[in-house]
This record gives sequence, structure tokens and C-alpha cells, in this order.
Amino acid sequence: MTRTVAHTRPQAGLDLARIGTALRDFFTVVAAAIDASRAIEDGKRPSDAALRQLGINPASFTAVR
Amino acid sequence: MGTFDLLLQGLAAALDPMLLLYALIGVTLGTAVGVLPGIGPALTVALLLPVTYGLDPAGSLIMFAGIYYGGMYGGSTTSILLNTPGESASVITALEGNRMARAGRGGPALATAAIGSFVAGLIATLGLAFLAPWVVKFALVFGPRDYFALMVLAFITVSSAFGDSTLRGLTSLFVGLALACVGIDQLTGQARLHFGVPQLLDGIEVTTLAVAMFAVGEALFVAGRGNGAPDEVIAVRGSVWMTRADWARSWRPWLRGSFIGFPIGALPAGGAEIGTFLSYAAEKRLARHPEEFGQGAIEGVAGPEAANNASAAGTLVPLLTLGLPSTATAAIMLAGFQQFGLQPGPLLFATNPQLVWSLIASLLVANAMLLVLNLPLVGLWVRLLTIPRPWLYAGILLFATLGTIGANPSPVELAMLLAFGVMGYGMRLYGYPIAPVVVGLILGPMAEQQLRRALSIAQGDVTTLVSSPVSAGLLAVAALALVVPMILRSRGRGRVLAQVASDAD
Repeated sequence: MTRTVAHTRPQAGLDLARIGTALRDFFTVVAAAIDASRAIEDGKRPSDAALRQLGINPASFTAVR
Repeated sequence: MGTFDLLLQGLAAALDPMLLLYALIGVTLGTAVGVLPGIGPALTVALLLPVTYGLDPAGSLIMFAGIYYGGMYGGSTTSILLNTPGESASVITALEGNRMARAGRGGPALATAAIGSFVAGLIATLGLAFLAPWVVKFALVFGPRDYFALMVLAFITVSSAFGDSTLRGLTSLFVGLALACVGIDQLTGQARLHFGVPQLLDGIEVTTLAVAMFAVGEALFVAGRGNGAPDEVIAVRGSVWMTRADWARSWRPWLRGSFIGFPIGALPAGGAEIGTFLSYAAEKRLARHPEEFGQGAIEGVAGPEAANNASAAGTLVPLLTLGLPSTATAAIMLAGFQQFGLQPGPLLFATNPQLVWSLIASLLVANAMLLVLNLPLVGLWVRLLTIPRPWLYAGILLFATLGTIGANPSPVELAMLLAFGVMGYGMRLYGYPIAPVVVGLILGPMAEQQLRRALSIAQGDVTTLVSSPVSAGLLAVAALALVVPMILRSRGRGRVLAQVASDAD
């Protein structure tokens, strides 16, 4: 008879890592949104890096007047 | 009486023919200014402040709120047809909406923007109605030290939220606070900073400053930029109606956009643009066909437009319940309230519930009016874009001057209008935000009064300012509101720069 050992600790670690990554991604996107928003309010063009974080192609943004 | 009963009572009051007329004027003006690039709800409300001085307060405030909502609706029209956002919050709509228009799908783009704005406005206004009483219940326990802490929170969030530099925002704020010191001290009756000019004994009029900064300063800024390239308006070809596939792809983004935009607009440091960017990022990640983004994906119009409008209603939560403006238009609306001797906040709900609930209910009515105005009359709005910009700004300058002189017929007032207008132009030119100046002028005297009351109750003991859990909590939030955006910006830039560097490798 074989016994299956539940590998709970590594699984929990994986979940925490995923949560951590998701939170980091979330805050990065929020920071990019704040950056872009402030630039727009100032009448400036947001940075390419912030636009890419938000899933926006910087070249298409340039076309917007 | 429950919230629902109060809302129904407000709706009954809002259906008064005169109030309906004010709402209609507001949404029509709002849509018109939303369509016209460079002119926004803040400028329009500022221009109307002197004009509405002698009018019915409820009607005027409903008109201002209608202008705010309408501005959000109208901005999408120019974004889609002209690739030029009518409002800064509609910049995302231009990305996908204009692509749709170029592909002959301008009608569905306009339709999804209008219907999404309606859905979001409805959800967010109901959110405002049900959230506001809870915030008011909490705020009713405030004493002078708590109100002072609330004002500090308003100062910090407005300064750190507007513009990309907290230092510039704080500088603008302190300019406003300095201007607020001009006049007679409320507690001692001493004259301050009037320089021997009798007209300054009453202090600086908020309407004069707001009109000067937003109207005159903006006109000078636009004139200074010179003529741009002529606008190319894309004609709306085909049907303005959406197909079944368009509806299927739009309804989820409308809902998601509403639930993203409303809490962000309700945050003291929020703004409509943040919600639209987040909504776009979310829709792109959740879309079945993310490769269509950038080529005219309808989700990229539906979600951000809904977020945009939901933010506008969210902004009214801190404004009405706490007296905290989180956008430039909200700051001007705060001036509008004060013009009529009303102070937004928890006491307004207690002392003037009919006005507040009829205002909230009017937003529901205005929302419905906007849906009717925007879609069938899109051709009319597009015609506004043919008005030459010089005529438009000349008209704004004339209206601003006449309005100010009409409200305060004095050469000193006119001189202040021009001086503050030049100051507003200079601030625009060098990247200093204008809204904190107005907020400083409006809230400065109130903050001073609450501070001095709190200190006199505590007999000069400064620790009273942090001795209550509410005031300590609010001051802690203010400190976070000052520090967190700076950290997020530096972390965001740091992370983004790191990503760009790794991409380059």
C-alpha cells in the first residue's frame, strides 16, 4: 500500500508567489496609469514605458492630437 | 427615512419643470463644451458662476452637475471623429474609437460610447445615492479638529494629485492660501494684506479668481500656442446602431468600466483619466481578441468611456459628503455651492436634504437626457467643430469679462481678473496646476477657522490636533496621500525603466 504525502507547503508557497506577482503587476499598472494621467492633465504626452505597461502602442498614441 | 425614499422624494422634486429646464441647459452646454477641444466643464462652470449669482441655487447646481456629466459624454464625439480628445479623460477613446471610425464603424463607436456612458452614469449615480448617507453618518461626529484634518487632507490630495510634481502642486496651493489671507480676519476683525485698497477688505472673490484662471488664462494659453493643423473630421458612415456582436462585446466592459471608474473617482486623489487607463488595460487583458486592440476594438471604447462617466459621479461623493474636491471641476462646483451660502459636507445633508437629494436625482434625469442628446444629434455636435477657435476664445474672454463686471462692477475687480488671468497663463506655461489655487482660496479660510476653534477649545495645546482618532486617522491618510504617489511614481518609473532596459537587451 502506498501513501500519498500531501505537498502542502510548496503549494502554499507557489500560491503566495503568484499572489505577490499579481499584486506587483497590479501596482505597476496603477503606477503607469497615474503617470499617464498626470502627463495628460499637464498637456504632455505620457512616457512610452507607461503606455506599454497599459497595453497601449506608443506609436498609435502619437497620432492622437 | 431610507435612502430609497429620499431618492424618490428627490426625483419628485427634480421633475419640477424649472429644474428639468436647468438640467437640460446644463447637459446641452456640457455636451457642447465636451465636444470642443480645449474647453472643459471646469472653464464653463467658472464662466457661469457670476451669471448664476442671482438664480435659484438648486437649479444652478443641477445645471453645473449637468455640465460636468455632459462634458464626459461630449468628449467621446471629438475623440472618435477627430482623433482629438474633447476632454482629457477621453484620450483613450481616441485610440480605438478613431480607428473604428476610419474603418467605417464610427456609428457603433459613438453608440457604444453613449450607451456605456449612460449605463455607467446610472450605476455610479445610484452608487452615489447609496454611499453618500454612510459617509455623512461617519462625518457627522466631526469636531473642529476633525474638520481641520479633513481640510489638510483636501489640500494634500489636491496638490499631490494635480500635475506631475507634488512640489508644484503645493506651490499652487500656497498661492491660493496666501490669497485667502487677503481681507478681514474672521475672528479678530483685523484687516490683512489689503494694501490700502478698500475693495480688497472683502477678500478676493472666488468667482473672479476661478474665471480668471480657467477662462482668461486658458484663452491666453491657447492663443500663445498659435494655429494648429486643420482638423480632419471623419464622416459617420453607415448605421449608428450597434450589431448584436457589438452589444455582446460591449456590455461586460460597460459594467467593468463602471466598477473601475466609480471608486477611483470617489477617492480624494482620483481623477477620470486614471480610471480610463486602468479600464483599457483591464479590457485588453480580458479580451478574447487582444490583438484587435490598437486596430479598433470596441471594448477599448466601451470600457474607458464607462469608466470616464462613472468617475464623474464618483467625484461627487467626496464633494457632497465631505466638501472635498478631487478634480478641477469639483473645485469650481465647490465655489458654486459657497456662492449660494451652502457648504457641501455632512451638515448640508442634515440642513438642506431636499436640495442634495434633488441634485442627486437630477443626475439620473440628466443621464437619460444625455443619451437622447448624444446619439441622434451627433451631426449637430460635429458642426460645432467648424467654429473657428479665435471666435470661440474671443467669445469666452468677452463672456468672462462681462460676467465678472456684472457681478462686481469695479475697476479693481477687472484689474484682478486680468492679473489673475496672466498669472494663470504663466502657471499653465510652466506646468503649475491651477486647481490647487482655487481650492486653497476656498478652503483656506475654513481651515483657518476650524484650526483656531480647535486650538481655543484646547487652550493652545497643539496635540489636540492628533488626539482624536478621526483627526489622527485623517492626518495619517493625508501623509500617505503625499508620500504614496511619489513612491508609486518612482517605483513605477523604476520598474518600467527596468523593463525597457531588459527589452532593449
